[in-house]
Amino acid sequence: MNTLRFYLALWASKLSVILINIIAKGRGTNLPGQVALAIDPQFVRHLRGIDPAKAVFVTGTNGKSTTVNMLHHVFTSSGRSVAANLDGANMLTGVATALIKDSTLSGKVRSEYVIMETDERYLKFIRRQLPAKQLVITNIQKDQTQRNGEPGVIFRKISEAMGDDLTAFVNQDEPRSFALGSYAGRTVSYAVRENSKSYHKEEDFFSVTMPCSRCHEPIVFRAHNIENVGPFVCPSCGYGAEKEADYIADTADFEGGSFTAGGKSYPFNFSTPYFLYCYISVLAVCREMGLTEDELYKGFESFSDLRGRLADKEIAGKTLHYIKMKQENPETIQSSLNLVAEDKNRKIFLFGLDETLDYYPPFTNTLALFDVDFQPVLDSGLEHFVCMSEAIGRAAAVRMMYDGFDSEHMTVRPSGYEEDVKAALEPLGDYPVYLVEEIPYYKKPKK
Amino acid sequence: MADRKINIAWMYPDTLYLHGERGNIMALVRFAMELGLTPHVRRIDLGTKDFDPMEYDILFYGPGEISSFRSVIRDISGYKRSIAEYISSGKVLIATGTSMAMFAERIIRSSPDTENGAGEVIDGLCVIPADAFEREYVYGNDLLIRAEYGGYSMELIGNQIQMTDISFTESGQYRRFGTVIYGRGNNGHDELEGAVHGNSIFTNMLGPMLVSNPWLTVQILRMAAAAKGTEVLALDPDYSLEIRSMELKKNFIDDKESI
Repeated sequence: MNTLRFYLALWASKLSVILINIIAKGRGTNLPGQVALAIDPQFVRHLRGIDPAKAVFVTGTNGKSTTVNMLHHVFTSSGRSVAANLDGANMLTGVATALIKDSTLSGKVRSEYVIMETDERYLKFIRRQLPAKQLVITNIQKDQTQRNGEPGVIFRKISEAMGDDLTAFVNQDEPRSFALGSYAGRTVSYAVRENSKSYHKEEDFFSVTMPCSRCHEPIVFRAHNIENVGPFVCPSCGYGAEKEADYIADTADFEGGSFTAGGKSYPFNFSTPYFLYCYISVLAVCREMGLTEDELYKGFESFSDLRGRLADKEIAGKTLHYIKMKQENPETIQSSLNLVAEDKNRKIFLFGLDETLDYYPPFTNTLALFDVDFQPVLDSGLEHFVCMSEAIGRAAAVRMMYDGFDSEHMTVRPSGYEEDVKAALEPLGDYPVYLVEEIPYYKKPKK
Repeated sequence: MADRKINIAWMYPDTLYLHGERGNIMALVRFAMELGLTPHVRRIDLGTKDFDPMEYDILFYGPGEISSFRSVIRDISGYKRSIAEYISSGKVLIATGTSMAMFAERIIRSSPDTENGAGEVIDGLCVIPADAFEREYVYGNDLLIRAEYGGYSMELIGNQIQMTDISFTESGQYRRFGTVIYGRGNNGHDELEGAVHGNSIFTNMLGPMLVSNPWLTVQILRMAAAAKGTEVLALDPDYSLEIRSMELKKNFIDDKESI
């Protein structure tokens, strides 16, 4: 009966893949998995041909998609076959869909390796059916407060999914990720050394760090390589790295496009330190799973981020530099602001913090505004600030006043749609333009 | 020359660190200066040895993770008697978000700590006669209330990320901070939001509340100054941007309710 149910689930879901490809090619990242799991709730467990030792899950607040894409690229460019959910569908249905697409009609997964992005909250449920033995934890940060409330909830959810059978690749520069290492049978740590884009916050009276997960006293970062990620220690209880990380990005040449680790130089095709953590975690996984230096080098050399956090567009006679942020994650907002601040020319800055619409009920979420600092943008030379939101644009304007920006150089527009962006830019002079927003206006539906 | 100093203790800023609530401290500093006061802010961490609440005019406790409650409650217990004296004297204590639960009598957990199971009870500080029940699922929404504070009635707007529902176990000298116009408030049942005792405020409202509602901030500063016998300048700060911001948020709430 169980076998019959599994085959029914497999064939029905495969049929749904075919139908979706006919009706709406490129869609259907979850539906086939939903079909399969509705018929056989243990569908993923019943698939054959998966070696848990060759299955890698990537979880955490930030960097999951990039890390999975990079792992997939390095593995496949070295001739290995990989089943992966590259589209970011990271719950059980998304994982199931990726495996359905990779499996034969008899339910055998074709690829030798499985590399999956996994939602932090659903990791436990996914691992029950597919007990991957490799887990990469990128970081655990404030995110989606309406769903998570606090980072501690996510810490707990991930810890519940871990066990002695697991090798955890933990970020030694991120206190919560590092603490999760104690829930795994084996830990491999990775880190990035202080570099030319690292910064310090000791001088800022209003700067807030985070509590130690052991004693709840303040964590002290010796440097921030990215916001709240860097070499740290808890002065109260001593929690922190007791030895060097197993894999370290020793130096980074952002202009020259390279970084070094273990005395070897690797290509680095990005200008932001955020990606260094993706690279070094991928390097750690690949080396531990037997890829050679040469294979890694070639993989890194040809990798480019497929999803694109940065893009340039022409609008109102100006070049607009778009930087994507996750608006409910203060650390990515801060990274975006820091990127804007790297340009020391006077500039126009468009900020599109929107209402939170992802979950019910929608609300005018302004919590992140005071979790980040706009001062670096102001100090870098700001000519004009444009807040774009129906309901919380003025709240963003208030925030800028707290950092000392003159309200006469601020405009509030009711949305980040193209016509509002144009209307905001047209009366302004010829300055570089930066847009920090979750979804760029040119991808939004017309009103 | 009159003492125009206003002493503010920012309690456990790196432990009670959620939701950008440091903005409240910035708002207190900004409007204290607008009222002709001289704000002095000190960060107080767990284990700060020489902390005496009575040396301050405003104590601010922001929201923190429930897993840190035991450590914070243990620290506050070291000066709990002074807190009672502090509140009775008319000085201002402000606790926002999850911190409100720590001042209740009991915190009943729904989700297990790593070492303790569901249903674990954490003894609170018993400053407000209430129990706090950890919610199984987070509730996040806008919060619009009509509040009474310092003899004034005012509308306040903000956000609410509810990790613990609050139910008062008795009435008495504690009165409601506000009546819910939109949102959940203490528990979603009795239309009550927060509590006030003396001039101290315990509230679920985030935003940060004192940034979004500067008319409350100014009133808090006036009460804190009055408690130490300091007169504030009869100035009326410019709230125009905040008022327009509030109107936009209220329109958003109205649209939600009409769906």
